[in-house]
Amino acid sequence: MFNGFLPKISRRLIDMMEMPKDVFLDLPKTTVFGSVQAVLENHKGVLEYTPEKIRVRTSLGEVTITGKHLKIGSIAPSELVVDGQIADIALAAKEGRA
Amino acid sequence: MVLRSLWSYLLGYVIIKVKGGKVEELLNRAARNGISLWDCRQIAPGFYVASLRIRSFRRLRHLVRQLGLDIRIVRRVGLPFLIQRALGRPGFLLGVAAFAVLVYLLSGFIWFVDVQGYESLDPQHVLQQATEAGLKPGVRKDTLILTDIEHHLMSTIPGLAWVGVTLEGTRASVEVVEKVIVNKDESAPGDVVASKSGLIEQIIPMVGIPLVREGDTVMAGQVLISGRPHYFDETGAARFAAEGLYQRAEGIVKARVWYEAKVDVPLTQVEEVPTGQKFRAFRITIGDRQVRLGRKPPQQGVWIEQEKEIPIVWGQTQFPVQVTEIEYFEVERREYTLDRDEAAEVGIAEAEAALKQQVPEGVPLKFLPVEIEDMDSSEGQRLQVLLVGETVENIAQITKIPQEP
Repeated sequence: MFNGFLPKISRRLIDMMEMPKDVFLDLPKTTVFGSVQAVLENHKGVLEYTPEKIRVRTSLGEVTITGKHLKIGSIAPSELVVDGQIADIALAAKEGRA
Repeated sequence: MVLRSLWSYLLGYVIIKVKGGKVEELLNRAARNGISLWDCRQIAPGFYVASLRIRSFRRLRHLVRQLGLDIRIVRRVGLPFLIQRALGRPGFLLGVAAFAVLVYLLSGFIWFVDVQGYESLDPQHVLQQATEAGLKPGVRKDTLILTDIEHHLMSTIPGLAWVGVTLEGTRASVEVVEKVIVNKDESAPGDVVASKSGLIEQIIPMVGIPLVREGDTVMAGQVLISGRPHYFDETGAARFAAEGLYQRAEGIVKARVWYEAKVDVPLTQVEEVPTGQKFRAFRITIGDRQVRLGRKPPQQGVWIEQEKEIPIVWGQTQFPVQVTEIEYFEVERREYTLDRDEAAEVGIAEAEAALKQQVPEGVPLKFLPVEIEDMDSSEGQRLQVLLVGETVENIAQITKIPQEP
């Protein structure tokens, strides 16, 4: 009876621990709303800003957002909101990182 | 997002213009120092605008000085700036204060008085008495003693069982409950008289002395059963006494009653047929003034108008504005001629309807043979229809005692 019960609990615990990966590992998390807004959490600063292209530094590498009429909807230490017509979001990961 | 922009508005923010190349560095430094920027965009190469809180602005300018960027406030948005601007205008502040004082002062007065719960009582009369007691539009609320007003109303208006005066804001409402007044006449002494002229068929006196017999013809108003004091002599016949108690005469008197209707039917008839043309107009009445909206009926053609009032109420408040909808129908007048039989038919139908209106409800009506007469007048040939209807009905009616000398 216990043989079947214990692994189930431990799996659940692991699932729960795995949930906030972005917080524990300081990984970037990008949420995109349609093509009008992108929210980047855990950014490490803006490298370039033009209405056509925004480059953002993250712990993984560079995230590049291209599009038209882009603007910084808001910027705070942990969160960056990009508004505009988003065409492409690309991640150029550094070597050796997950 | 809405909450954030509301907060920004309440706390106040500025829109700044940044001139220079290193705007990314500005963004990063602001973010690192906990200054949140929003709506940051490029308006032209090398020119940027952004929004930020007032409190953050001074710190940002300090950061910017090191970067060599030119920064300028374009607009100040939010409540703190509005207040600042208002404080700079004494006239405006005075107006706000005056308004507040005015509203406070005016709310201390009675503006409306209404009457509720009346049935047979005239509400105008109640209002008039309330005015006499001091309750009327324009008086100060704190000068009113409600119990005194209630006492005044109770003592001056007969037929009141209860009255209550309540104040709701600037409205005073007088609630009345009427007494149910028992009709004292129902037991007063009196005679039974004929309500209509007719031929007596049956008379059943219950109280009092019958003065007529079956087969008698009586006129309306004639005494049928008397309640006068009386006694019975040795032969058993009733005799009136000089003194005694005047009774309330009662009884049933069935009589044959005739009704007559005379109808003139012109042989040339005019009929109004709607043509289907119609339109609407409105009239607005404010006090004695009237404003008409919409066109008037054209000169040609015959137009019939029908007025309908549109009530304008909001809750229990009746506005002193009256809106009347006027609907116009165009009709065509057509003349047509009836032959004698058709005219007689129309006349009889009209006469029958007229008779039925005169006869009390529930009494069977018998029509006597109709008399039809041809007539010639200046307006053309016409037919006169005379119809008589006959009923047998109770004509007993009790009148009050005649004031005897």
